[in-house]
Parts: sequence; structure tokens; C-alpha cells
Amino acid sequence: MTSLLGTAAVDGIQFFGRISASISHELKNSLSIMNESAGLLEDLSRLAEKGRPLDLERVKHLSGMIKRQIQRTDHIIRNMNRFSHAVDDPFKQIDLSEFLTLVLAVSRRLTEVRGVTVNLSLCPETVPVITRPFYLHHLVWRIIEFGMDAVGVSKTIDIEIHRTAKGVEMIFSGLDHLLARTPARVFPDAPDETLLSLLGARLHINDQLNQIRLVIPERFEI
Amino acid sequence: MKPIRVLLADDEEELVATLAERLEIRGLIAEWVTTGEAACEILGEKSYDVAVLDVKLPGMSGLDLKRRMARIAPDLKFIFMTGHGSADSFKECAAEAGESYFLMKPINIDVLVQKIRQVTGGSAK
Repeated sequence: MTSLLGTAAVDGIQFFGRISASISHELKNSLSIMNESAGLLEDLSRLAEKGRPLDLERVKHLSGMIKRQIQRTDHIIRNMNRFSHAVDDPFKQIDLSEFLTLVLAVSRRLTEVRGVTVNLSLCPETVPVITRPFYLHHLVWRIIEFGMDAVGVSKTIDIEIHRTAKGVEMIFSGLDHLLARTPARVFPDAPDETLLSLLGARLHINDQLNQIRLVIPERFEI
Repeated sequence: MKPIRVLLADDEEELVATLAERLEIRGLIAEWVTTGEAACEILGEKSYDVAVLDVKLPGMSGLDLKRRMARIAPDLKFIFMTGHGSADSFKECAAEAGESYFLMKPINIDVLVQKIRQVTGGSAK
């Protein structure tokens, strides 16, 4: 178990870095919009000083844009903070719907750059599980990353959550090219197997339904 | 002297739209698109002197887009902008457009205008 944790920690740091870099890119974009909006307000003020009438509707629009970007930035930072705290507790009770929403939010930029949309069907009720949140986040991301190479023409991966007698399952569908196309990497590979062991989880690849099914226990504690 | 024509490509619409307006205030003709496909499409219809591209556009990297655009408009000059400060991005873009033409977001508008003038030799073709 110790060696598994060591291997997962090394891969986990790379994953943590990748997500952090993606979040920083989103923050930079938001800052850039605020920078240009404030700059344009400055430009319009200078032009007004030289006699060009100031369009107040334009000023209101630009102020609104800055406000929206501040809210967006706040949202990104809150998600970043929640993602960072995933490493605080080795085991923790989480609500799976809420957790997957966060997973998709912090990796949104990485999927968008690939032109892929990931949809999550939220459960009407909460789905509490006791698990290792950071490793689960890492494994779900690895499935999505693999899924982006196998996605069909709709370029959409759908994720559903179901309770089963054996635990809680997450179904990743829309993966039309699970077998038809040579995947960019073997899946599941050694890091995936390590994460599956650390989570007490099982993975099923169904090339008939173009699905990957990840089953995790409702309570996993050591 | 004909004004310099600039095409901006970035998936953040509010960014490119505002940046275009600021460039117009500074005497340039600026238009914008939010996808690589739209950039190639508009290049088939209109001509520009310089393209300012985000390094990472959805579904297509800025470098791939640059190569596609260069095939459509061989005289077009390029400037990259990015929120990523990675050494790899810098090396790749610097190799394509020159170190001086790789700008970090948020952009300083005066620096961007200066780079646009430098890369186009100060005037439209």
C-alpha cells in the first residue's frame, strides 16, 4: 500500500500541476478582459476630454463586463480553493454530484481546448460516499482524458451517477471509438490500476455501449 | 498611408471585441473571430496585414492555426498572445513568430500596437 501511495503521489503532483496551470490560464483570461474593459473606459474618457461625446450606455456595458469578470474570477478561485483542499484528508465524505461538478469545473479549459463538452447528469438526491477525494478526482480526470481520444462525432462525453448494490457507479458514455480507433495510450494503464486499488474501485469498459463504468464503494476507509 | 488591418483570434469574445475597439481608437482596422475555423474562413474573404492569435484555441492550437492561415495568406504576419507562461509554449511560438512577438496576457495595448507596427514595417501592404 505504501508503494502504491508513493506512485500515486508522484503522478498526483503532475496532475495537480496540470489542473493548476489550466486554472491559471482561466484566471489570466478573466484578468485580460478586465484589463481591456478598464483600458477602453480610459480610452473613452480621454476621447471625451478631447470633445467626443461619451456614450453612457457603452460605459454601463463595460462596467457590467468588469463586474461579470470579477464574479467569474471569484468562482474560479473558489473552485481552485476547493480543489486544493482535496488533499487535506486522506479519506472524506463527499457528495458525488457536487464533487463531479467541481471536477468538470476545474478541468473545463482542458476539455474545451480539445473541443470536447462534458455533460454531467446530476442526481436529484445527494450521493454521499466516503473515499479518497484527491485520488478519485485524479482517476475521473484520467477517464475523461482517455475519453477525449475516444469520443464520437458529437464530441460530447456524458456522465451519469447511479447507486447500485455494489456501490456507486459513474457511467461515461459517448465514447464511440473505444476500440475502433487506436487510443493514444493503453487504458487502464499502470497509474489507473494504482488509483483503482487505492480507491477500492472497479472499471468496466463496454465497447458495445461505448461506455466506461467506474464503480466505487459507498464507504471506503482503511 | 493605408491603415494596418489586424485580425484578432481568441475564444474569449469580450476580450477580442474590446481589444479590437481599442486598436481602432489607435487608428488601426481591427476585426475579430473566436474560433480557428472562423479565422481561416474570413481570411478567404478579406485580407489583413497581421493576425494576433491566442496560443490555445478550442479544437486547434494557435500554432496549427498560424500554419493554416499562412497557407491561405502567405504575406500575413503573426503575433501570439497567451495566458500560459510555459517554457514549451514560449519556445514553440518564438520559433514560429520570433521571441518579440509572443505577448503575455493581460496585454499592454501600447506594446501590442508597437509590435503590430514593427511586424508590418509600420504600414499596410
